[in-house]
This record gives sequence, C-alpha cells and structure tokens, in this order.
Amino acid sequence: MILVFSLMGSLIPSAMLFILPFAALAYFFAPPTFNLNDPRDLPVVVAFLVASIIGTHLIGKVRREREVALEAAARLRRSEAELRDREKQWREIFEHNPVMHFMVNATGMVLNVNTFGATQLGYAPSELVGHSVLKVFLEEDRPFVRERVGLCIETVGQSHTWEIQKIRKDGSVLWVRENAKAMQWAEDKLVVLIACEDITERKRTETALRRSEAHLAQAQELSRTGSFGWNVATGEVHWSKETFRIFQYDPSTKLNPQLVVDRTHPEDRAAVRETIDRAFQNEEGFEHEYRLLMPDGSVKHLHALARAIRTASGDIEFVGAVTDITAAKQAEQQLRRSEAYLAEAQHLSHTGSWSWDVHRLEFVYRSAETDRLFGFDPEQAVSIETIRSRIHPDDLPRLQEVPRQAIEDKGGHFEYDFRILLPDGAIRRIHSVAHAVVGSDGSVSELIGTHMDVTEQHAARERLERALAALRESEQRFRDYAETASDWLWETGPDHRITRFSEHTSAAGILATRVVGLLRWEIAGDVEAEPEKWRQHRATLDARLPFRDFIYRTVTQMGSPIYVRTSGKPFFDADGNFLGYRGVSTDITATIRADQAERELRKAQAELAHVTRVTTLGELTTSIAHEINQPLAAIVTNGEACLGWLGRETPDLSAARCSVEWIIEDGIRASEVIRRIRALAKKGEIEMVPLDINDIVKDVIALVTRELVSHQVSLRTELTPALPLILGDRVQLQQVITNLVMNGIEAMQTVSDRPRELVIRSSHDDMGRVHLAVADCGVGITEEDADRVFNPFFTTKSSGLGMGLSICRSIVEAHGGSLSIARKQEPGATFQLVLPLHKEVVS
Amino acid sequence: MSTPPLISIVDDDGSVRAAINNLLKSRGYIVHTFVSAEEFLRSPHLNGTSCVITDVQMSTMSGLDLLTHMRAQGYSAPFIFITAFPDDRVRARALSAGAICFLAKPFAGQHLIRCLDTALDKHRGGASA
Repeated sequence: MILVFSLMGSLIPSAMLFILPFAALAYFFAPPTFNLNDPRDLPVVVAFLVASIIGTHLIGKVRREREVALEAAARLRRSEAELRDREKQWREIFEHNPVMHFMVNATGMVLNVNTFGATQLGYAPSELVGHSVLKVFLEEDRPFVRERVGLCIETVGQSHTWEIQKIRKDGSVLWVRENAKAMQWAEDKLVVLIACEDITERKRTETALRRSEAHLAQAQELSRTGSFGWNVATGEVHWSKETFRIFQYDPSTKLNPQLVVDRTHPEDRAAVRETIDRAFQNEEGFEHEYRLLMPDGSVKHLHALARAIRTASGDIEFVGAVTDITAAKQAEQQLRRSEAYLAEAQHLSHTGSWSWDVHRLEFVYRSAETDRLFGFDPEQAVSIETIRSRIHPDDLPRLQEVPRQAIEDKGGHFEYDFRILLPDGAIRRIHSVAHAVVGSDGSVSELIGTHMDVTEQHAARERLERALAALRESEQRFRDYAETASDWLWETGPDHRITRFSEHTSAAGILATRVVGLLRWEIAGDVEAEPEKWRQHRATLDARLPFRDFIYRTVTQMGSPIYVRTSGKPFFDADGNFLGYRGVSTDITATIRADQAERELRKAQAELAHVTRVTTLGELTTSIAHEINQPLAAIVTNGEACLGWLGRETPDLSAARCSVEWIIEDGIRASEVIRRIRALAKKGEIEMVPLDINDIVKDVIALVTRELVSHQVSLRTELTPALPLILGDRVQLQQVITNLVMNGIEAMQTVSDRPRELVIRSSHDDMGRVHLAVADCGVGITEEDADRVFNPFFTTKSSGLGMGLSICRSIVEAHGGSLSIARKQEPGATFQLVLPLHKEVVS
Repeated sequence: MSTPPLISIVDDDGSVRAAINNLLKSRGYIVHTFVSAEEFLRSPHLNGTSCVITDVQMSTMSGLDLLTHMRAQGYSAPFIFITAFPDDRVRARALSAGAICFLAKPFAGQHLIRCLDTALDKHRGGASA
C-alpha cells in the first residue's frame, strides 16, 4: 500500500477514499456477521450498501483515470525512446496492479496478462498468453464472453462492464466484475483491454442477503407474522409482504394508518385506538391482540407487537410485527372445549390426569379431577408433604418406589394401585396408569398418567369376592356334607347317561372314567335278577321324579360285588327343561353284610333263648307240676267230698253240687296251666329241611361258647367233612345237641383233677346214617342209671325234673333217629345221636 | 264221742284248702282252714287242734317249719303233709320229724281220711297214754 502511495501520488486521495470504506466495512462487520433479522443490524447493512456504492463509484473513477493513463502510455509507446522508461514503469504498475488485467485480440486470444491477474487465477502468465481467454471461463459463460468481446470490438473506445465467474486452474470459481474496452493497437489491430476486479466477497454477501431476505419472507409467511414500520411524524408506513397478506391489501396499495383501522373489527376498534394513542403519548412500544373483520366476513385474530425507536432524525418510529393468530385462537378455543370435555369426562369416569416433574417433585399439571380425588384446592400449589399426607401410610413406600422404578426403566407404561386418605378420613382406592417421558438427554424428566378412582369398583369387587367366597364355602360345605354322607356324587344328562362322577370313589373302587357315559342299568349287575325293581326305577326316572335309597348291585374294578345305595334328584334349567339327575351314592356292602350277620345273630340269639328255656325245662317242671297238681288236688278232693255229701244218710245234694262246680272250675284251671306251659315251650312251626349236621354243630358251638368258657371246659371237634345231608328241623336239632353239650358241661362241673374236655364227633356208618357223638369226662352214669336216663322225670340233678333227655329223645325219634348212651367210659359219658339221611326219610 | 276232733288245714292254695275243707265236712269233721302257718299259730284253735293238715311249700313258713315250731312249743298234734311237689328228701325229713302221712297232690280222698283216722287214733291214744 505504501508502494502504491509512493508510485501513484496522484492517486493517493482516491486510493484513500477507496480504502476507507473498506476499513469502515471491516470495522462494522468483523468479527460477527450481522443478522438481518435483528433490526439493530439494519443500519450496518445500509452503511455497507452505501459504502459499496461509493467504493464502486470510486473504483470506476480510478479506472477512468487509469484509462487516461493508458492512453498516455500508448502515446508514450509510440515515442519509444522517450517513453521506454515510462513504459517500464507502467509495466511494473501493470504487473503489480492489484487488478487483473487481460489484453486479448479480436479472436479472444490472450495477448498479455499481468502477473497479479495470472496468479489470482492460479496460472503463470506464460500459461495464459497465447491461449484463448475462454479457458478461464465456465463453459456456459463462454458464449457470453465471446459476445462481450465482440461488442467491445464493435464499439471501440467504449467501456463495457459486466459481472461473471472465472475458473481458477484448480477448478475453483471466483466472481469478477470486468471492465473492458477495445482500442487500436499497433498496426491498427484492435485489442481488448480487460480489467477484472474480484467481487467474490461482495457476491457472497449479496447472496447471503438475498437468502436472508428470502428466509425472512419465508419465515414471515410461515409464521403468519408480518413486519411493519411506522414513522409517526412523517406518517410513513412500511409493511412487509406478509403484513399485506394478513390485512388482505394489495402490496401496491398506498399505505396509511387508516388502513389498519378500516380492517379492525368494529368491536375492537376502540381498544386498538386506545392502545395506539397511549403508545403515541408515552412514546413506548405496545402489544395487543385484536380482531380483523375481513371483506368476506371472516374474522382474524391478530397479535401485534411493536417497539418505539428513535430515528436518526429524532423522530419516533414504531417497528413491529403482527401475527395472524387465528389458527392458534381457534386451536385454543378448541383446546378449551376439549379441556372442558376432558374435565367432564374425567369427572364422570372419576379419572384425573396429571404430570409429575421427577426432579422438582411437584405436579407440572393436574386436572380438576385429580384435585378432586386428592381433595386439593385447584387454585393452590401443593407441596410434596401435602401430597404424602394424602396417601395411605401403608401405600406410601410403594408409591415412592414407583417413580424411581419408572426412572430406572426409562419409559414404557406402568400401572400401580394405592389408597388416598382424605382429611375427613375417607379412603379412595386409586388405580393409576402412567408412563415416563424421556427427555432429549435420555433421562426421565416427567411422568404423565391418570388416577382412576376405583373405590366403588373395589368395594363392588370385594362384595363380589365375599359373595363368591361365601358361595364357594357354601358349595364346599354342601359338597362336604354330600361327600361325608356318601361315597361319591354323580350327575346324569337328560338321556340318563352319567356325565359326572366325583373323584373320591376310590373307597368303593369305582373308576370315574369307566362309568361316565354309561347308564345306571349298564353298570348294575342285578338288572336281570330283579327286573321289577329296575322297571320301577326307570319309571321313576322317566317321570323325572326324585328317588331315594335305591339299592343295586355292581362290581368294583377288582371285580368284587358291592351294593350301592343311591339317591337322586332331577334338575332343570331356568326354562324348566329337564337337564338330568344329580345325586349321591354309597357303598353299603358292609352295611348289608352287617345286617345279614345281625339277622343271623338275632335269629341265633332267639334260638338260644328258646333253647335255654327248653334246657331249663327241668327247673320249670317244678313249678309246672306245682301249678298243675294244685288244681288236680282240688279236683280229686272235691270229687271225694262230693261222694261224701252224697253218701250221707241224708245226702247233702247242695254241697255235692257245689263240690262238682268246684271240680269243674279247677279242671279249667288245670287246663289253663297246661296251655300256658305249652305257649312257653312252643316255637313256631317245625320245618323239615335238608341239613348238614356239621353246620348245626357249628351253630351250637357258637351258642355255647360262653358256657364253655365260664365252666372252663375245652371243646374238641372231630367233624367228618362232606357228610350226607339229613332232613330235619334245624332249631330242634340244635336244641338236642345243645342239651347234650350242656349236660356234658354240667357233668364235668365237679371235675377238678383232670382237664374238662368235651368232644363232639361227627361221622357216618355203613348204612349211610349220620352219627353225632358228644363225649364228656365228667362223673359218668351208673349202670343202673343208664337204663333210666331217658325216662321222663329221671334226673341226677337236685334241681331238675329229668325232662331234658326225655324230650331230646322224643325230638330225635320224631326225626326218625335215635339217641342213646354210646359208651359208659370211665370217666365220663358219651351220648350218640343217629339220624337217617335226607333221601332215606323222603323214601 | 265227747267232743268231735278239730282239724286245722293250712294251705296257701285257696281251692285246695276249700276242697279239703269240703271233703272233711262231708265226712262230719269240724274243720278250720288257714291261709298260712302264721295265721294258724295266731289262731285260738291252735290248742284245740287234733290234727294239722298242711301244705309243705308255702311262701313264708313251710309245713315242716310249722311242725318243728309246734313240737318245740310242746304241741303234739299229729301232722299230715300234702304237697304238689313231692320230693323224696322232703318226704323223709317230714316223716322223721313225726308226720303221720306225706301225701302228694293230687291224692285220693280215702287215703287222706285213712291218714286222718290214724292220726286221730294216735293222738287220742297218745293223749290217753
């Protein structure tokens, strides 16, 4: 720059003027780039533009001076000798001028280029000289360059200026402003001199500015925000394109403040005027919302914001923005409506919504219903303590755990339940659904959720659960009853096939899976044996009547027969359609067996009682005799008396008659005694059936076991198996054998020097007759007594009448057999009973 | 025949008692009947009794007990036993105790009269002796 000053003395002022704006630019723009959106930068931009224009003007001036210099140089060159030094000087200037200079001929071939110019393009001057100048232009610009060069040639001496891009050797592009002029060169050849100024920076700035303006316009359009300026003093109004659009005025409309008033909704005009008047008076910014009434009748909501700035001339100017907030207003109204709906819905559904700031531990938002659920005052912020105080103490730890878990899990929905404890002591049960909001930093910042009041549902559910539990318990109770009272439960369908069978049938050994699908009469084993029973049972089922204690026989899995007692009840659906039977069954095999055994036992006991009566007949005969002999004595005596009265000298007929009457009375009395004794000894009808004598012996043993034990007598039996059957009355034969056994026991009563043993022996002889012997080892029977023991009234007992053996012999003889003393061994006696066979008797 | 002999009958069976009474009256005896030994012992006829006809089996005091008791009291009136339940041992005891007869019911009327006559003779003889 110093060199330039020194060489170009006359140019110093212009150079200074040239540099100063740039310096000023540098001062204003660097280091930060200005922002067109910022109104504060506007003066800078304006200053820049002004400086640029001034610079450009100065540069033009410089060029014109340079052309003068060139013409002078041309003149000088024609005077070679004189001007050589000056040429050299000029060459230096040309070479080092910070402007690119090209000299091309009419065909566009570079004749000369200064070093600065070549260097700027990345070439050595020699690389360009002799080549087409088009080489440094973009392909698409080359026709333009030819045209421009041609124009210069046609208008010799006239300057032409244009802006174009040039390509560096490395392919990069720079913007230049070219100033060209054709002139006569030696030998009348025309050359075109071109000076190029690098305007890349300016171009870039212009592009940026245009882009900024485009962005601003775009932004205004998108944001429905127009900008405006209003100089109150001058009445000058500036509107951006978007402002025109918002007010629906043609951009060519001449602006004045009345336009705004015209468009303002009549209802809002007063307020608008008031706002603006106040702004004028106070000279300060304003912000207001108002409505426009558009020509088509529609209404727009505007938000205007302005600030007062003082212009360079000291006037107040309002600069501001106006935003069409119709959509926002509508959205807001919509939102308000939605919120109203939501609040109503929340109230109806008892569902509150909320948002919780997990860092600040407070509600970011809580709906009215949330407040109602917690009993909060909607107008007041609630502290974390208040919130905690409203949560049931038992649920507090769990509830505090929820956000922590949500934060750890980072997002996703989660649900939890808790109870709210209201100040009045009431408890609300809340079911909460929430999710965590994950911020851009990946951490959970907020929980959003709903609280649903499920107190009623919970109560209802508890009631239901209680009812169900009661029902279950009741069902279990009845099941227990049924299962306790029976072995299994069953159900049949309308077709009487078993549909259900309770599992606890193992006791009876019946497998449920085997009987399901079968009919009862398919399971039973006595259908053929007892057709009438089953016919009645099926009639009951067909009539759909309940039945009780129906007994049938079936077999277990193991194949053993069991008796089942079953009771059932038909059941119907709500419409009265028959669905089948339900019932219980019990294995009563043991009961039936016990009944049979008991019947047997009772029969045996009855028989024993009878046998006992018979065996004690000996004792009875004492009183029998007495009872009979008394009337007999009276009869005989009265008979004698009667004879006495008749035999008198004067027969006393009256006394004789009286005696005979007494005789008759006593005769009747005697017969009455006989009748009573007969009744005592009588036992049903005698029944002659085929019998096995061994069975009768076993019966007797069962009956006399107690007697054997109490008299310390051991019993030995020698029973021959498979004896032929005899025909007889079981009870009478039992009496005979019992009598023999009892006699044996009695005969051994005094025995103390040897074991008291009784032997019962059964056999049959060659004649096929059955023999039964009862042997004792008692006192025995003397030879003399042996002939008489069977006589009536023979007895060796002090208290007996000796009827026992006599009766026994009578019974045996009535059976076609005999009873005798078989042997008179020492010690003891053996009685032998011989009975003919069944067939023998029949034949 | 100064005073006819007084016969006392002791038997708890009413019809037998009545029948013997009937028989003896038909034969002209003076007879008193008693339901039990105790009644007889309390009777004013005890001393005047020439012969006692008594049942052996009676509910409280048996005929044998009555004989033993009366002998112990010094009464020597002869005894005729009658019984509906004749037992050899009882018979032996009764006879050894001094009974004139031991008759099983029913007995023949003349058999009782014969016993009674024997007893009265014996008593009279005894008394005269």
